[in-house]
Amino acid sequence: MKKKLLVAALLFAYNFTMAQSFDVEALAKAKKVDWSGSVGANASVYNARGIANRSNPFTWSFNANVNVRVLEVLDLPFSLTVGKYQTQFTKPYLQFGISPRYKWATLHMGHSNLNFNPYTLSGHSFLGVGAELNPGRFRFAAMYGRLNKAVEVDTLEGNTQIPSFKRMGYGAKIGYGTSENFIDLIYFHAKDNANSISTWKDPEIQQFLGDASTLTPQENNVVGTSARLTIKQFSFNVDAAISYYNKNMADSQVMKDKKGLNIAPDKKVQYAGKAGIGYHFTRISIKADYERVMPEFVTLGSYFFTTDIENFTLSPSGTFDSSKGSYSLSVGLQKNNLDKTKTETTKRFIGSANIVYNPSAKWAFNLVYNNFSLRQVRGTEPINDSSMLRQVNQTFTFTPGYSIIKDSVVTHNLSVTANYNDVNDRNIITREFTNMKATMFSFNHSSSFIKRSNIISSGLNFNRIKTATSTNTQYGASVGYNQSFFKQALSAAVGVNYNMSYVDAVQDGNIITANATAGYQFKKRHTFSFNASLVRSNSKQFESYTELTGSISYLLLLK
Amino acid sequence: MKKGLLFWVFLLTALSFLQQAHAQTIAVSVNVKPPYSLRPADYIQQGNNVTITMVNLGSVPVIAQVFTSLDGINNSVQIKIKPTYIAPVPLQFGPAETKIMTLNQLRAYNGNPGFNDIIFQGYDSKLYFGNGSLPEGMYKVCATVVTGGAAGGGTFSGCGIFMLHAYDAPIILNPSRGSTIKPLQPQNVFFNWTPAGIAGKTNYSFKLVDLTETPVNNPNDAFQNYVQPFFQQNGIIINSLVYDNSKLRLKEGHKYALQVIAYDPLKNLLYKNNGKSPVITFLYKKEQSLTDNPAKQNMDDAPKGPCTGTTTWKGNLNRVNKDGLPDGTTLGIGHFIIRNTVFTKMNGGYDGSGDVLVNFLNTKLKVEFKNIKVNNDNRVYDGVVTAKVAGKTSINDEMSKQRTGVIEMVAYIDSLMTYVDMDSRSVNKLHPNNAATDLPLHIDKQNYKIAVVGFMFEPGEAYINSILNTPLPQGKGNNPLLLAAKGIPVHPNGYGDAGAKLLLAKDISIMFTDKGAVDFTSDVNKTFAGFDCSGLKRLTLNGEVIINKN
Repeated sequence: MKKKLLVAALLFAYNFTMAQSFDVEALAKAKKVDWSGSVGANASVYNARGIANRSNPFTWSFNANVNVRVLEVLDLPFSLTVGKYQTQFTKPYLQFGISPRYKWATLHMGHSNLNFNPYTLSGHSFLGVGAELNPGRFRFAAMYGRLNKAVEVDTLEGNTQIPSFKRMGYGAKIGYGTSENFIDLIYFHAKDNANSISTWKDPEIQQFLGDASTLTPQENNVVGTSARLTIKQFSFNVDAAISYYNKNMADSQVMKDKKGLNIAPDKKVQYAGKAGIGYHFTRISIKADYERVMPEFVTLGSYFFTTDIENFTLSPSGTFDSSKGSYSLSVGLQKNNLDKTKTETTKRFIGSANIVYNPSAKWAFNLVYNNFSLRQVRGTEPINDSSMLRQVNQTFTFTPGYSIIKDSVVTHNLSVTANYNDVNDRNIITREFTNMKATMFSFNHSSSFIKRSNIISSGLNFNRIKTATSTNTQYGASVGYNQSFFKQALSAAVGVNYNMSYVDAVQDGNIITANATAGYQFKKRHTFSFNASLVRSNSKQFESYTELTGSISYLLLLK
Repeated sequence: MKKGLLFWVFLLTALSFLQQAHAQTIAVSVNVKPPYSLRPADYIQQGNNVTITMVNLGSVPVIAQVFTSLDGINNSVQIKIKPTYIAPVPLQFGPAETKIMTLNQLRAYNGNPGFNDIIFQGYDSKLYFGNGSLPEGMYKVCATVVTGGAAGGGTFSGCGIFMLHAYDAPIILNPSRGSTIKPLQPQNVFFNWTPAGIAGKTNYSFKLVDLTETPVNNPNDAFQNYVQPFFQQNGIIINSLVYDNSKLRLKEGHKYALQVIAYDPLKNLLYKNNGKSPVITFLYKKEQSLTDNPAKQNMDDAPKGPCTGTTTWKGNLNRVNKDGLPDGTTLGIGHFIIRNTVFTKMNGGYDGSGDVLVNFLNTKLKVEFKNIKVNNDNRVYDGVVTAKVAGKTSINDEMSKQRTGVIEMVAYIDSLMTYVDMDSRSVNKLHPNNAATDLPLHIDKQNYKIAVVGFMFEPGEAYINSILNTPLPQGKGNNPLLLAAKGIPVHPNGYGDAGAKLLLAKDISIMFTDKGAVDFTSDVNKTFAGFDCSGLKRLTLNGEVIINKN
């Protein structure tokens, strides 16, 4: 019965989050109880005709945020989110945490997350206990808890639950210094309980999984260090870790007889680290970073990040023309195959430039250029031209804007956005299929009339996407109107866009998009909002379809 | 058929006994070509990537059978054809003959070994005959040739080694992690990511989750369980996607999480993290205007924009106190945001310091505070935050930290003006990306310079104290016109709609010649400099000309 009640409670709370913190020291000054907060609800619907659904037909959520302050020193911020985000039945999850703080000491209990450094414990949620102690210049943190809960393999068709073992972890960080100058030493350990789920040992389940390497009990030990040094305009930082990772403990832990299972011991010691130096000159700042993450480096204290990568980045930024303009540049070189075991080495160049220039209060210019280039060279084997990746991607965006302000009550804004994206595949075979050029121009205008409480907007647009197989072109126009009433308490806006579409210069159809929003605030405590949008695509060559989405929300300020 | 098989068994067995006396050497070598398949059958009995070269080094014909095997060097996978398996057709070698065969060619002789003809260790036999794949690791593919015939029997082996590795998962390039995308009308967002795997073999799945409508504690959770994507597209063959008006409308102000998954439809390639890219988030939001700033949850710095608008902050400000916030907590105060906070007291009010971005000063200002009260939205609801000041010999606390009263005179005005005239004190020489600075600063216009000597941030409005020290063109002696004002309301982009008025604080007499002077009076409407939000609008002088009778 107890189990049933618990299950019922959990079913109600599809998604439940609670957090609270308090200060122990000030409890002695007990005086009163106060509170504030808000509650809100949101529901959205989606419907498609002509194509399969691309989104949830119905989602809803309920939020409550209430802060109760007891005795002037104890804050109990409470938040609750209940929602349904899936069309199918899914198991609920429950998260709660409490973090009392006393001077330089903070204790965490329940669901929490801590950051030691990017390669050890880095933001992974855990259920357990943690502490952060910073007396003077000493820096100490520790945690123990469950990183993953056990989720059995479910072979039901359409199931999206990702199976996992129960994973426990603990770690500690000890250091000395201030926030700008310090050194930390870190240890972190995580281990799966191979007996926490039973189904994975079943050969039928293994066959269902297809690749057994996706679900193996794992163990991880990581030692790391982090340091910062700041001397006037100069700064230096380093984060590093060495990891011992056993991808499969099954042999020693549960599987005396390995026969019949796609499992193999796989133990690795790998390292990862990054370092950066920076210097602020009067009008320019320069930063240089170097990162190296070995191919098999794994820390179970972090969510997935890219491994087998060596990355060097130089990032200057500064101002020009008496600070009317500023620029931010970045040039990065990356490569993989650090242990030289791959058949090919992939080299990447990532560059970007962002320039902002405001020569006067009326004019504003923004130019963005990104370049991503990739090529592969021979690794352990000669590389075949037909299978090697080789590509240059470029993106240009230029956005000039002009504002006219009349007596502070009428403002006209004119802006142009020109965007060009070029995906240039240089592989001799695949370039026939994957080259793409996307061009987009839009001209937008808006006039804001403060006394009349309205905004009128209009725009023209041209889009062209050219691929190896076809050229799709659209051009059209849009209009919008926004009006406020009752001293801004009620506002409503509508917008419509109509685009003609062409495939290889032959008219194919049109796309109409429309949206409407409304918001109403009643007695400053109640806010209602409504949103609806429509996409109607008519096409001779492709599917014609209609999509309609709508949402409604309500927010109540409790105090 | 059975008779045929018995014949070969008899023949090979019999000939193997003659091996000692009549060994006939076969040289065997194995070559494995990339891309390396994930399927073990491609190393045992089919495919064109494994090539076996066999050379009969003897001078007499032999017959033979080839047994293949696959061994994991750093894992426990072992798969091989049973030694008792009899091929339907033996290979025949002439004297000194060389045969180069792929497994597909060999299959014509070896046939299809079945479920009971292959030995499996560390690998599920059902996976072999299903869609199973090998784990990452180093492998050895061997071919063992067992010979027979008149020249005698023998066993000869050759092996090839290969490394089976997973290809990199995609990395999302655009938008960058945590960036803000400005909505266009109609919508048009360009997404791209690094290509993965082998050219032409990889497809991509694009998943977008609306974190605003489906809140989760960590964006990574959105792609684990619980959440169905807001938008998903599979079967993308290029590493980019133009999200235009034909797709579901992105909602302004919403936060989205994105993951791209690389996969091989033929399941021949292995990708790290099952092809799933690291998750990124982005905000789909137009540049926020000052009127949007009152949202209590908003902790974004106001964007650069027109200097028009109201300077007062009219947001919903509750007074439920919150103590014990840690260093680094971002606090809101009116239209401004305090970052990099360091607290020296955090109970019963906060003491400490931080930085505040002020767009019209082109910099972050160092600020300090004493006993400010913060509510549970992390907004200051009581107290004053003031800018730190250097050069205190010429600027006292009354000038820099109080917004009421008048600035009648400035001690050491010359040294103050010399100080603010330094390049490092000109807002034109500053940049928001550089380190935070302190006051005084000067706003350098073509014809005049205004010194900002005090900046006070309060929950409902912010104020500056300013001085305009302008020597009159034809004035003589060291007696410039000192106009000043305290408590000028400002927002992040300037004076706002109300503008500003700098007044002459006390009557002053300025000599124009040795025999003549003008007495300027300090009445509010007589001598003052009026500013609208874009700069000096007018300078009004009202005085009496005094001419010496001589």
